[in-house]
Amino acid sequence: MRKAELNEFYDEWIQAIYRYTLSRVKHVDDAQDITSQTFLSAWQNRERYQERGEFAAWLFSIARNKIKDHFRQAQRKQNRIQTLGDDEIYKLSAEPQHETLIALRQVISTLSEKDQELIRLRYVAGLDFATIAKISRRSPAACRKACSRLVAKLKAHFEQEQE
Amino acid sequence: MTKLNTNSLNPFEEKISLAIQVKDAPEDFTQTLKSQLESIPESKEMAQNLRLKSPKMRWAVAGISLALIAVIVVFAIGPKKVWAEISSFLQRLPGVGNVEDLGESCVLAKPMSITQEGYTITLEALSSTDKKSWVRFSLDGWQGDRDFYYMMIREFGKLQYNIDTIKPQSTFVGDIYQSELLYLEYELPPVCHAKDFRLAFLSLPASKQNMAPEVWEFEPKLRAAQKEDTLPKNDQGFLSSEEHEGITMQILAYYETPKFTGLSYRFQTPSLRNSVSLLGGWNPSNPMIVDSEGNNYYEQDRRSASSHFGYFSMVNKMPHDESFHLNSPSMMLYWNELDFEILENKAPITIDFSANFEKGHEWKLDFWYEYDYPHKIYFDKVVYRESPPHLEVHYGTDNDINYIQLYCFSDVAPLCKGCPYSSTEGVFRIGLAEKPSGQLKLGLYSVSREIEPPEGWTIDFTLDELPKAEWLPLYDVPYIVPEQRP
Repeated sequence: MRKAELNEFYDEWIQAIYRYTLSRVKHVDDAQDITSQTFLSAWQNRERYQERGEFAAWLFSIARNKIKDHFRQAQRKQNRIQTLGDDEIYKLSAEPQHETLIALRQVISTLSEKDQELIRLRYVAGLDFATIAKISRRSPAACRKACSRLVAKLKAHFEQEQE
Repeated sequence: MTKLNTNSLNPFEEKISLAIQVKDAPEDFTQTLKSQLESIPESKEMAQNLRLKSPKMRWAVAGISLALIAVIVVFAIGPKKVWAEISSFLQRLPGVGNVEDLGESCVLAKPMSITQEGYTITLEALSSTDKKSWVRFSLDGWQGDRDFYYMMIREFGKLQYNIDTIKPQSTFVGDIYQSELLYLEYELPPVCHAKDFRLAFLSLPASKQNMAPEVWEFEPKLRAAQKEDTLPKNDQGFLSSEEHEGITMQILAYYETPKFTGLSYRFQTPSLRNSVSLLGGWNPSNPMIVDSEGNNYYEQDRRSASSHFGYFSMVNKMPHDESFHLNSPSMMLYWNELDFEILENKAPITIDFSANFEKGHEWKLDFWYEYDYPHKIYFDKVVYRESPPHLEVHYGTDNDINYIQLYCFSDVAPLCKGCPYSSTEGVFRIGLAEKPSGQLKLGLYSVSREIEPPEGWTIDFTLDELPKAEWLPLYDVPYIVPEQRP
């Protein structure tokens, strides 16, 4: 991959990678560090990308490894992971349905880590199923099915909570 | 397309999207990072252009050649004698692997260190044959411990080969980062007979905000390789887990420094020529190591090589008087056809287009292809379609697979000359330039499958039961001929 192409990909994916990372680490400085590391690593290992084919999936795999390293490092050093308040992370303060959305977010946070990851890749990072499938090494059909089951489950759970 | 089409969201999905939408990255951050990326020189590409083949390709070719030689030898003299025969004439040197004649090889006479402004770089080891060299450095005194810095070293830490002419021919092989120590390994051209041979780190940008000294230059003293420089052989087999679906997990060796213990291990499939890996994705299946009191030894880093070499995991220092339990809950089987003879000349399926046929014509295959005991794929039929002309290969499996790739050779399918195409839907499509008339050969190129036995793979062990590796066992795991299966 040449530098010009990387720049193009950078413009296309920087926000998605950053948002995904921020939603995982919940700290702006850490999210910026990890996003930087992700793109630096992508640039450094760009020849490997040509073998793998799918840039977004590859980029997200790097980001996920960096995030894993981030948590491992904190665990190794027995550091408490510091996270920011929701207002500093999430966008929705101007939304008219503010309270409902916060309640929905809380329901999402009760999902298993695996389910939350699927939600993040789909609705925070905004990836299609083909890309999610590559990242998670499943078939697109399986991802689509898992997501639609999860959304239905979430909806039922949320409506129950609202009642 | 890789992005979600937001117009396709239903109202509840829109709500989900809004509820968890995080703030965008600030523009000053994205701009700064972009300029930082733009400032990185493209010298790596220049280095690649100077090489005839990538190191990965060379390793792959070497690996395949060795595998083919092994197969020939197995047939010629029988599997039980193979390892004894091979080991009688091969010696293993760290980093460069098997060598036939130690007289053609050399090693570093003794380690050497340079300390400047709080950083110490040690040239720890070097081995060279007439084909290639391997060198390992350690870097100590690192002040910050964020990955960011060491990545910058990896990017900029070029090696200078021969002081008179800078040849960017060093290839970064791998690194292990442990506490304050960073180990860096590189591959180089042969150096045993090089004159005025020096190695230098030219700079360490980004370290202490570019305050680190500019050059560390080593003038290594080399000597002929001797028997004691070779790695110990192991032909006794390895500690193995129970078998699930024809696959066992094995611990190959351990390696230790004053600060950490490394374990190398692998999954063995019946043929052992296939690539396997631990499951990644969002359902991580990291192997867990627990001692007899239930204390976890968390994996801090993992490196993978090929299926022969397996994995290398670093954990906190493991005591020798303790017993451990290693468990891997699942693994991903990646199977690849590596036999060129099969790929080029022995494709298992041939479709003959010589007779008249129209769109919708079906060629019944009804064929089970056993790709690795006990795993197989069923090829059902091939159907000819038009607008544009293409073939559909219908297949099925006896268990869930994640993806499949086929290969094909044909004069009539220009998109189908040994290039694999992946499909996960049970139908594989092959594009054609026009209605075909000759023959098309088809075969299985690769499959991946997640295997999750109810209790995973487990091994109970103590360190003293394992072979000890003298070096980071990334590329130094001996090859053991697998047991024959029914």
